[in-house]
Amino acid sequence: MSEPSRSDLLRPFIASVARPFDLRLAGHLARRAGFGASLVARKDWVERGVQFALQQVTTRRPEQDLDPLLADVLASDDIERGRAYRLARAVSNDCPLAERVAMFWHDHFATGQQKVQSARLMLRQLALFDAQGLGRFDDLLLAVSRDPAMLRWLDADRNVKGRPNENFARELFELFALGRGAYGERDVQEAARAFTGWRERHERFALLRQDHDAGDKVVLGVPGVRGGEDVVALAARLPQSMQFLARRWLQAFVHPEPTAAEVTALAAEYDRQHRDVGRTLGTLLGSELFFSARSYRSKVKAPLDFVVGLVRSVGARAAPSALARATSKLGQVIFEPPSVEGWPRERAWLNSATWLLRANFAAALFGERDGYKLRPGATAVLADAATPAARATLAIEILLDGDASPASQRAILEVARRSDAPSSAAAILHAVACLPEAQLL
Amino acid sequence: MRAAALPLATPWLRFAADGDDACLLVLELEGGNDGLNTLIPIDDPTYARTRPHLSSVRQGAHRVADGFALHPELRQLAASFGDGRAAAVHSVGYPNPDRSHFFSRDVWHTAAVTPDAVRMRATGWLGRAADALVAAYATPIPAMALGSLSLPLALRGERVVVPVLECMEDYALHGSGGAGSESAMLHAAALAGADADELQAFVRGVAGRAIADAESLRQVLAAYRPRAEFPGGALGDALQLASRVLVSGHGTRLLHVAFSGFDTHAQQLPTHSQLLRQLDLALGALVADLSAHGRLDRTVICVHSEFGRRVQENGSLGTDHGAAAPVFVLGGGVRAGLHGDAPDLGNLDDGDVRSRVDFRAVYAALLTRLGISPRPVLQHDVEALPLFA
Repeated sequence: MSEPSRSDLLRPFIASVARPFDLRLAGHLARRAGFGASLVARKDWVERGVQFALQQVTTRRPEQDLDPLLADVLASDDIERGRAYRLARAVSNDCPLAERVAMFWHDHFATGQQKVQSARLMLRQLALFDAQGLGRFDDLLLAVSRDPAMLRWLDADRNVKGRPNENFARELFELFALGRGAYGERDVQEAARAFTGWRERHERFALLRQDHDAGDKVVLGVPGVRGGEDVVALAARLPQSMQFLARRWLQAFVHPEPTAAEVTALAAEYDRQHRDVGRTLGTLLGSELFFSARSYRSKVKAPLDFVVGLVRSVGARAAPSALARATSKLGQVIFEPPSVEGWPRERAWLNSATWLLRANFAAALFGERDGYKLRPGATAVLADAATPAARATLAIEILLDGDASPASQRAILEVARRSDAPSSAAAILHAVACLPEAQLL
Repeated sequence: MRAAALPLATPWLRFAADGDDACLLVLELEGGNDGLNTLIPIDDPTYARTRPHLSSVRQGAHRVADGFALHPELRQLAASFGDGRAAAVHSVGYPNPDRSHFFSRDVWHTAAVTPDAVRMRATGWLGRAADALVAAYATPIPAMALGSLSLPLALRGERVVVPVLECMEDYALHGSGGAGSESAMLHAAALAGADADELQAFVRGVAGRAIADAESLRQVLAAYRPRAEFPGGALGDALQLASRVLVSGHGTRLLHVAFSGFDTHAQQLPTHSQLLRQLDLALGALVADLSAHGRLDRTVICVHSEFGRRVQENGSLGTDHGAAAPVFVLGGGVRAGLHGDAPDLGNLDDGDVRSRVDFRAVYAALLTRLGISPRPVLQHDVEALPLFA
């Protein structure tokens, strides 16, 4: 039997004279697969081609200098330090996709500190996403189902034999694996029975036999289901699950409103890859669809995209705690998703207050106030540029891959002409960060 | 007419000309405020018996009604009762009270009736009220959370994203040289972008509104001068910010401020006194400031907590999580004095004060006072408590 062939929608992107892998597309890949990259790195990608760039964003390297920091943060059990740790990772991690995907799963499996009440457990849940976020979904889903923070979050301690609590089973189907409409109330009730006795004990998973309902259940039309692991395996194999996840990935990586054909194509690819998340996303990121005009700048940056993106693009240095605070202030409080459905998306991030806060964050960052410090090189290249026009062009390359509308270019040129050294670089970069293009992912 | 003289007025200013612009400030005491040591049943022998140590607050308490006195630190609040500007509702809670901070707070914030709906944490009552205000008046920022970093669930709406302001400087466009260094060139950049791109047009629209709002807000707020002395500290700062917003009358009608630290399981007396002192100074300044600006009549302040505390004091000179507790309401049009049924310490709900007034009846009264129909906001028919004249 031959392997089913890959949908034409996901055919690999091949650079050509008509459609070169240029700075625009390098920036698109850097923003979507990770949280942006320095101009030097992006130019290097353009030089060496799309395959090299894809390898750079998807290859995992050991996180050498962050491990001692994590141990320290875990010991402190301080949620603010935990947030700073995640920001430090997002800014410095050399495997952008792993970082991006960890935050994707944090949104997907939205668990909140307010109820979990343990920075340690929240950090360990994120570490689970770091370790398994690009593996097989079946394994990830089972690990999340036994994750101590998740057990606390969805009331595992209230789910006992004879008095099942449906909270986890319902979210498993509705939000984690299948989506509404793919299951019935009876399935939720039966699945809840299968998860009875799954508990968090001393910050570990434990199965309490006396609370577990070991009887046979019928879930999603399948008889003979016993434990929660059976439910997880069953749900992950369903075609509805593949469609559900494919849609989420397309929304996160390609376009806020994927077409039915795109969902079907990616679901088939996920199936073909034996439900391996990393390989499925690898195909997606290397596809024509990913690099298409429909995908390019079609999404609104979340606060984390905006904050970390500016910092990485210019190679700024900043206390991770200050960046964590900035991200929280813009509305994205890590470890505190606003509801079980995760964070708002796309246009919901932007209103007049949050736009001002974003612009003011850029002002502080580039003005090197509030503890932000730019790497000397970042402003030096701008200062070295001979003319205002050259400075404007370079700033637009640094933050927008050289791609700004004529009106935007005129506005930036005007700023470059009117502002004098030494504040010139800061004023120009700040103005670029205020352009409409700078809010788009 | 003022609006006609300002043809280019932004929605902030235009809204100020609209009719009834009563505003609501919800001040939440986080952690479970001890209601019995706040509004003290001063003559109740059961109170003294169950709280042999903690009942010492009767000394110096301010009698506000027959049998009830305010904690000694609540001097200005007691004066407001004397002036006929303050009311308290006894025994406010909800059926089947939950003793978890997290869950009980979500009950108050969502005002949802079923536990499952509470757990969904979809929207909050003030967020839904903000949605209603936007639908009716197209006011750009109907609600704000002040003095906190993240948005309280109460303010989460379906249509409106409510801003969170730590300080007023957040609501102005800064230049890279710091506050006050922004320029027209920066506005031009914010309003650039590609003409034909729909998403960029959306961003441009948001930026344009932000710049216009910030400018009109700056003008309006520049006129504000405090007419009372606010205490330092987070609560004083937040309430002064609230006063600026309320005095300016620019269309923000719902404010939420949280004040934490009330989870007094041990050595309660000094902690609770200190908290109530801060509360009284800040709240007193707010009332004085609003009054001096002629704004108090159109402002309602509601002070509540997620639950009260156990009647019996514990072995650590503190109190554990309880159930019903008094809610305080101050400001314009309030029927002063005590409302509802006083706590009956001889008839408890598992050791706690029994709920006799559903908090949603208080919400319904507040919404009605604001001219917002309670039914769509509370999503059930709730009879409003007759709190306002």
